[in-house]
Order: sequence, then structure tokens, then C-alpha cells
Amino acid sequence: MTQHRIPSSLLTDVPPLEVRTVTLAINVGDLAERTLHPLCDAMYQRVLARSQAFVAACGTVAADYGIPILQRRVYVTPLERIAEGFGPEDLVNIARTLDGAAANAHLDLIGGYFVRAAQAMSSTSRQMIAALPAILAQTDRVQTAVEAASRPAGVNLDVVELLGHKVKEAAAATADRSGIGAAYLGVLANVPPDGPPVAGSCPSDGWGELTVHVSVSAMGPIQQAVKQRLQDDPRASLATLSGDIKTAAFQATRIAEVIGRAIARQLGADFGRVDLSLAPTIRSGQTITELLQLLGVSKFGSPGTAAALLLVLSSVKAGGAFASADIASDVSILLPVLRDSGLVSATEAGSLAVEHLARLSAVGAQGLDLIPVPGDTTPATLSAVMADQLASAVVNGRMTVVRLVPVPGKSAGERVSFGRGLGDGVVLPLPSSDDAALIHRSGRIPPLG
Amino acid sequence: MAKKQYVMTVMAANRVGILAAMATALDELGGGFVDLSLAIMRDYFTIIMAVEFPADRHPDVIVDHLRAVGRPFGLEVMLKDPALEPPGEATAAGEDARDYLLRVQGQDRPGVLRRVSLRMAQEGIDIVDLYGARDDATGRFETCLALRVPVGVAVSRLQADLDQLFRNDGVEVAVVRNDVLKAISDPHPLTVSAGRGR
Repeated sequence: MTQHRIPSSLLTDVPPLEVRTVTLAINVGDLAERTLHPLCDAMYQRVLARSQAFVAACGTVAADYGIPILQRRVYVTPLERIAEGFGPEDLVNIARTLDGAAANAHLDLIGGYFVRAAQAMSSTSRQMIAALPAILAQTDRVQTAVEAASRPAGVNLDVVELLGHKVKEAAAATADRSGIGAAYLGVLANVPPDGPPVAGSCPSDGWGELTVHVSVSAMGPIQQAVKQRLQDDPRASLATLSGDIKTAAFQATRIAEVIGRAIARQLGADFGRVDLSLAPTIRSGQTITELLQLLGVSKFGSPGTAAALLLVLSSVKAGGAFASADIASDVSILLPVLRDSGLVSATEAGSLAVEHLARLSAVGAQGLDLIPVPGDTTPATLSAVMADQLASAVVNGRMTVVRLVPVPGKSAGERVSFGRGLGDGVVLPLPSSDDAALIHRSGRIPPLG
Repeated sequence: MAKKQYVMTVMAANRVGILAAMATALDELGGGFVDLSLAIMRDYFTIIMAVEFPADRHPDVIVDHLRAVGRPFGLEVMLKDPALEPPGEATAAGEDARDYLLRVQGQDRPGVLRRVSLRMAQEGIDIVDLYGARDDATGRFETCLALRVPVGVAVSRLQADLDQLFRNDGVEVAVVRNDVLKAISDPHPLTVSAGRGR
């Protein structure tokens, strides 16, 4: 029987096909060594062996499908329990062990140094937080995170106050590299149990030994679809554009799932969640600012920005949810300023300031992400900015990230340049809080009823 | 009675009734269509088909009868017996190959298909279906090739090589795996096997 093998769908446009991130979650919770060196040794061996197999699988699957994977990350189960009983110096060694394994396996990022402290701090979480500046100064690929607030717990101001200092110390410890250490410390709220793996946190409890999560790369396909539509019909309605975004998100989600499952199959791992969050990629032009320009908001941050973001987010969520049964519950728009050349241009042009970014979390932006701020910002001001953002998160219940980078020796308006996956940026002014009395009051802001 | 299969092509300027005449002729010979594919190309009727006849029917009789019946249409008939062809080089099949689609589009220029198909041949890739069209008004063309790619061929490298090959020609090339194309164009859920690596 002869078959016609060319489906008519190929005669229409094929969207750009790629996967933004593949993340392998490795369980290390069973490493029971209570002395440092054997523990580090066992962890190194396990993480390295699994990461190497993972990177190799990513390579084969990407080559086989002809679909690029832009980033490879590994997350180990949160170190909090393993870290019990170890002092800050030991913790630095554990983090360096992870960093070494990640470097050896050519990973882009390794996470798992994650502290949950929305309610209160245990002695271990105190030690882990105390070790942060040294870890951030001595590692290249370790993304650390502290959950300092959640909808049921409220905002733990004790942690927030402490983190203001740690961010500052991390920046100071990496002053020779523009304070890049602070970029690898995420202050989080509402970390969902089912992912997505983001800014150092990863689904862990209730998951298996080895799990592959994927992040969708939808920015390119969405831009192409919207561009194409507006070429054909410059007066296209919002319903039409939303439909186009949905279709593009559907396709991008399907690609991510096909690739993620193929990698999981090769590794004998479980397939985890598909992260629909819309983020910039390393490809030039794949930025939210260009998409908003197409939709008719010429300057990111100017009036109309929030409305356009809502259109994008709701369409992406609908398209992605239809494509896969395994999408992560939290879907956001990531606005990591230092990774997004479009956002940097908007800050340079003056249309985008920290206040705008803070407000956009109400329509699904994921907090204040990778923002360079003046080097002389006080720890109390940093804490106050974090507290405000976490407070919004307690009210809206959404996953939130705050990553502020006080750039040593730089003041507002000055250019700063990072390596290591971050781009160039302009230091943004931060309204200072002269009176830090609130931050210094110890305790927790209770949740909203 | 034993049957024998042939491959037959018929061409003629397109007119109403060609297929009817052919079907009648086949019927009269005790034969029938097994498998067929028809295209009208620049107002020219072309058909390629697998046909079967009683084993004792001589090929010359078949061709002569079809020509006679189709005289008003000027049918050009060609009949081949696949069993008489020398065995060719085996192509990858089954588990050893995967299905991909290759789309080439852009401004028409000589040699595009030659360079593409040469590259496929180098990799041992079998081209199992082909479609192509050019818009005479704009000079833009589009070609789709269905490929059977042996396992082990790095498709990402193939794609990169083809991109490189046509970089300055305004020709775009996209290689897509069939299951990916199905996944992005079919609203039905992905079929996912149970167990590890689901």
C-alpha cells in the first residue's frame, strides 16, 4: 500500500522549534553520611554520574530530533535535611561539591541549596543562610534560594531582614565581578510543590529518584505567529491574536513534552512537569518587549503593559494546558532584567523602573528578578523592597522571586556588565527607606485571613 | 486463478472520461487497480498505479488493449514488471530508520533540489515522497520531501549543514520529525506509554 506521507499541515509554517530548559531532579536525600568528606564524595559521585548521563541524553535527543535544548540544569533534593548538623564552613564545601560536579558535567546551573523558612527558621536554616555569601563567592553555577513568605504563613520578616544583609554581603564578596554573587540568591514566596523548578527551588517531596522537567520556549513561536497575523491582517482583533498565541503556546508545549519524555525514557527517569512560564531566551530578539511592541505597547513599562501581559499570560496558559496533562501549576511571565536585552533597553529609555516591575506581579510577572541596584543600597532598604514584593505574593498567592543585585561602587544610571549567562544592564534607582524600623522589628507578618 | 502485479503509468492531456476508459479496459482484461496515485500537472493527466492481471495475461496484450481503448485520448502507456528489476541497495527500514519531513522553500534557482537530494544520498537517507510547486508570478517555490532517516544520523547537524548550504540563496530549510509534527498539529493527546520514562 502506498502512503502519502506529506501531511498538509507541513505546507503551512512550522514554528521555530526549541526547548528552553531541561532540568533533571536528582534525589540525594538518602545519602546518610554524617561526616563531611564521605558525604561530599558520595554526593559528587552521584550528581556527576547522573548529570553526565543526562547531558549525554540531552545531546542525543536534540541531535536526533533536530531540536536545540538551550539550557541544561540539575536540581538535587533540598539540602536542608542533609545539611543538619553541619556548620557554615561545611555547607560551603557541600555547595562547592555541587558546583564541581556541575562544571565537570557541563551543566548551566545546579540548584537544591534551598531553605524553606516562611514560617520560622530552624537552626539548620540559620546555618544555611549564614553560609550564603561564602557559597555565592566561591561557586559559579550554584543557584541558591530561600522561601521567606507564603500565602498560608505570611511574611517572615526575621528572614527578610537577614537576607537583606546576605544579599549585600554576597555582592561585596564578589565585588570584583560586579557583585554577581547576589544574582544567584533568590528570595522566594509560594514555592509550589509541583514546580516549576525556578530560581533554585525544585519539586522534591513526593517525587521519585530521578525526574525530568522541561520548560517551554514559547517566545519565538508566539512572536512569529503574531507577526504573521499582523502582516496578513493589521487590524486583527484581540480574540484572533489570543488564538494565535494559544496555538503557538500549544505547539511549544508539545515540543517540550516530546523532548522531555524522550530524555526521561533514555535515562529511565520519571517525566515531571512542563513549565509554561514565558521567559526570554539566549536568542536575540526573543524578548517580551518585542512581543508587546507587536501587540501595540511600544515601550515596555508604559501604560498598557499590564493589560498586554494579561492577554499573553492567559492565552499561553490556555494553549499550554490544552497541550499537556502535566503542566506545572504556576505559570508566570519571567522578567529577569539582566537576562533580557529588551528590558534593559526599556530601563535605559526610562520607561521601566523598579516600581513598574513590582506592579506587574499582579498580572503574572514573577517578581523583581535580576535587577541591578545601586551599590550603596542599605541592607534595610533591600529587605524592605523584598518585604513589599513578598507581601503582594501573600495576597495573590503566586510564585514570586526577588533577586536584587546591589552592584558595588555603582550608582543609579551607570552601566554594568556581567559574564556567566547574565548580560549588561543599567543600575536602576531604588527608592531608599530611611526609616528601617519596620524591618528591624522581629517576627512575622501574619497571612491574610 | 493466480494473479500477477505490474506497475503502470499512463499520461494524456486531461479530458473527461480518461479514467472511465482505463477502468473499462482493465475490466475487459480481467484485471483491476490495486493502488494508485493521480496528479493533474499543467493540464496533463498522469497516473501511476499498481495493477493486477491473471498470471497468463501477456504484458504486450495489456499495453496494446489499453492503447486501443484509449486511442481517442491519446494515452501513453508504460508497463513494468517489478519482479524483473535487479535488486537495489537495501534501504533502512523498520526500527533502523525514522520518518522526517524536509521542507525547502524560497526563491527558485537552479540546483536546489539537486544539492538537497545529493546531501540525503550521502547520509543514506531514503526519499519516500516528494511534493513541489512554484508560484510563477513570484518565482517562489516550495518542496516537501518525506524522508526515512537511518538511526545514527544526527539530524541537527544535517539541518545545520543545509542551512549553511543555502545561507546566501534566500532558501529556507526545515527538517521536522514526523512525531513532532504530529504532536504540534494534532489536538489529540500525546500517546504516552505507562511506566518509567512515561
